[in-house]
Amino acid sequence: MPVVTEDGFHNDTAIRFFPIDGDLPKKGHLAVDLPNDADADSISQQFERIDMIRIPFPSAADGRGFSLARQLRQLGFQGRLRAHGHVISDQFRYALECGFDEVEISKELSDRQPESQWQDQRATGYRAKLSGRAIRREDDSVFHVSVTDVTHYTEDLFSFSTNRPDALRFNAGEFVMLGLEREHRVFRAYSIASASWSDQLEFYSIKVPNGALTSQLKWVKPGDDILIKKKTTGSLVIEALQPGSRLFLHATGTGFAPFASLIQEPALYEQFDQVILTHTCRYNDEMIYSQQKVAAVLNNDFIGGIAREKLQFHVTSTRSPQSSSARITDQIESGQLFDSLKLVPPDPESDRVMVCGSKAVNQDVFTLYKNLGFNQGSLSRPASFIWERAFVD
Amino acid sequence: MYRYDEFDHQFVRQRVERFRDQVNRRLDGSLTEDEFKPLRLQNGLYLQLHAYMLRVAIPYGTISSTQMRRLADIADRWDRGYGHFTTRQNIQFNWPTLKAVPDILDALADVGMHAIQTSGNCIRNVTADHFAGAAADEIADPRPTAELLRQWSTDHPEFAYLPRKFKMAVTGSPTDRAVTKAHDIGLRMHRDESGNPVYEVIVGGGLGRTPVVGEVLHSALPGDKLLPYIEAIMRVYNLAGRRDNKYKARIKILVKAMGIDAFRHAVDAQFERVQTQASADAYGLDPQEQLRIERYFAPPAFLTDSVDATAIARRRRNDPDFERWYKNNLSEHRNDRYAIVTISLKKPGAVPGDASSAQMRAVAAIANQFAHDEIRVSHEQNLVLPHVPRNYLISVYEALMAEDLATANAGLISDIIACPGMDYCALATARSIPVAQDIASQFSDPALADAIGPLKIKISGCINACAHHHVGHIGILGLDKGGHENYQFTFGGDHTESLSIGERAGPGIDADAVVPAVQRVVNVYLQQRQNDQESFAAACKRLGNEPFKEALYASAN
Repeated sequence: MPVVTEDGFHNDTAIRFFPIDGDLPKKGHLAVDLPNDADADSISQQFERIDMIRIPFPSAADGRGFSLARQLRQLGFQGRLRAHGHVISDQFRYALECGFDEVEISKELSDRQPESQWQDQRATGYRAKLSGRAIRREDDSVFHVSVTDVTHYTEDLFSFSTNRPDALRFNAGEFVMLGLEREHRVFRAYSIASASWSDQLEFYSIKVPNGALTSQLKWVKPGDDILIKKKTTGSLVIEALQPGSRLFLHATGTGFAPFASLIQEPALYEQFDQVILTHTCRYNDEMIYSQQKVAAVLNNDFIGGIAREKLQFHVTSTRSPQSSSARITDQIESGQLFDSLKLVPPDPESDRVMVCGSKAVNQDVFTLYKNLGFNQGSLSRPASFIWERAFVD
Repeated sequence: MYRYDEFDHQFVRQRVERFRDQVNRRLDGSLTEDEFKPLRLQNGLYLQLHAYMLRVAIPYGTISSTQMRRLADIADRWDRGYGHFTTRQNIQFNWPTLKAVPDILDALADVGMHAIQTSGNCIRNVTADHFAGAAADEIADPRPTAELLRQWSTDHPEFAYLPRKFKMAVTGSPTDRAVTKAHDIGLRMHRDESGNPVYEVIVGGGLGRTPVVGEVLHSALPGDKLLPYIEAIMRVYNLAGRRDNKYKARIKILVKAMGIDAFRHAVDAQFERVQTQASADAYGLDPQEQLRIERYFAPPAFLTDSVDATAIARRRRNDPDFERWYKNNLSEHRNDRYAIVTISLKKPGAVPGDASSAQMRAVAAIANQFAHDEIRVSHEQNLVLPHVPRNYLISVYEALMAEDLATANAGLISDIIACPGMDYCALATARSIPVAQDIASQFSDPALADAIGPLKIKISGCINACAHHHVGHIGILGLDKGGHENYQFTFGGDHTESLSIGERAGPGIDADAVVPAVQRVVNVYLQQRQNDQESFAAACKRLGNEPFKEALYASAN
């Protein structure tokens, strides 16, 4: 009888299968026939000495063997698993995915469905997608997008927009890996600043001296090609916070970008009664982008109404000559921030916090809130405080 | 609503190509008819009485205007200009040729639709409350769960060859609009004492030739355990469900045979097994991926303009037709500036659930212009606009009127559920569509229909009960009796959260006796009800079925 493996057709080498419920040899390793209604537990004691298990498929419509195979694998069976009987080529990938190594078919079936029909059966299924395996495998594959618009705010700060591939999915607050098509592709994490519902993608960037990517990105112009890795990720997602009434968003520098996306998200306003966004930077001209973004949100047809009701924006610069503003950490510690906005001080019971900035600022802000009783949250364990940990400076 | 990503697109395209190949391999003899049949069915293709029938999935009944327009195009190009919306939130095309089917599937794939697992012995299209995301009484939106189950069950290697078909439904409201207790697995979302989202898992419900009310298998399953638990149930069924007799192969028979406690014990044993590390790695759920699914169902950005209540009130006062439509076809939305609008496909005399391509395009245009581009298909074979700003109600009404789609009978006696019956179906033993048409015509007088109030009539053309006649307030089952069509009545059915199977009244009656019999039953109700607030269902509970049975057979004397 022909045996089919992932490599193709093979001739069956004469293996002697013992019926599992018959007289088994006392010693040595075994190949056994296991009926498709067998209790998988009953043979798990003997896995050590069983090299191979063969499970019958009396008809192509009888799927019991698939369940039995998966159970044997779940119970830890590591030997060979063979399906035997009426398994057609269209079912081969099911057999493989359920843990079978091979299928033993009749001469009649192998004549009717020659080797070529048993190939190319591997496909990425939905289970792989749901468990995150499919997307990890695609890590190296990228979208090509085209720059539609570039705006420079200072010598070093600029934003740019691209078209959005239909298939690029992301949650507001997440980042992607961006790169340019060069001899050596270099990718860096960029928060998406545009809304999850927008047809455009927008990014806000600072030119890092000698930065491998930003030094080149700064010169992009409309029409240029940019690479975007398909997997988006990030810690700043609403679901990593427990429900609450006020949401504080603290940004420093280009850490404003994820919040530019989040404040356009209807769900944010559904879940919180008040959203307080702070942005601190060094000089006044570094606030242009955030001020323009917030103004655009408040005037947006789609989201403006609810944003005007719930969003408060507080922007300060620390080094402008006419400014005496303190760093965000000092503003929080002294209570100045809350006084100037006429807000009661943060309460871990009802307030939630997101922070995005340099690593040092993130850490300092977290320490302040931690002392007030806030805890760090994640998707698997939502709490009262989250920060973006992907960026280093 | 759910937007296909690259993965879905690629998967569906690949599936179409695979099916094209399978059709060719059937034609060249590589596949026998027996081997081809399950493959054909798992791609939605039935062989009916007169022709092939293609059943297209509308997962949890949610569809956009672009998709609806594509259905209209398919109806025009490959069918006879109409489609039939079913009791499982699918749409059926009754006249495609086998050769055209892969092309139709391609046309569907363009707009993110497919016919995968709409038939065959596998996990079918997952249904959900048609008011999901809009209903005022909703605790949680059931659609992310339904979509998660759709993805998980699509092309599942272990569960593609089950003993029999397998249907799941999900609801997130205390009012059960998804008939969860009449499904192989029904899921009811609620919150436990600490406020965490949990599922009540109901198993072994079903109608068909052996109607059974589902039993509670787990009263509070934590949300993150859903997939492993469902996998455990499916495995117990796949291994132990009967395969020797197709009439005893559904999970309800297995649950009855084992008893719910022994069944639960078997599920718990598998539940433990599927949560081992090796299995979880391969089949676990990435929280980011789950989040992406949930995000797709975020509500639309609701308009915040204040409602011009005087304009609506004036129209209600001055236009009795509008007033009837307002009273009968509107449901309460969770946002008080909005309403849910039911578009009845049950104009008296029409075929229940049928929509012409022109009607589909009209509904698409209205949804696009006035209702956040979203349409639902209800298991009651109507269409629903889930998010209509109250300020647009008059415009929506007038647009529906212009297309003859403003029939104001949602939930009334002429809003009848009927299966295709012997006019189309190979299994049917009697016609159901003409019977529904005759009854609806008999009660087409709006004043009479309003006086009768809420009354669900459900008509199945055979014992398989596709129209859910067992849970109709009046259920009608068409059978073949020595070459004559013969109709049995049931009374006292209930399709809601207090699901109950109606009681068979006695021997069947002839086709031409059905309308007068329904008239007599209704007359008895009108005479004996306590007041006009007491519905037919309530009167049945109070009076028992006897008076109605008497009325049913009165003419025999």
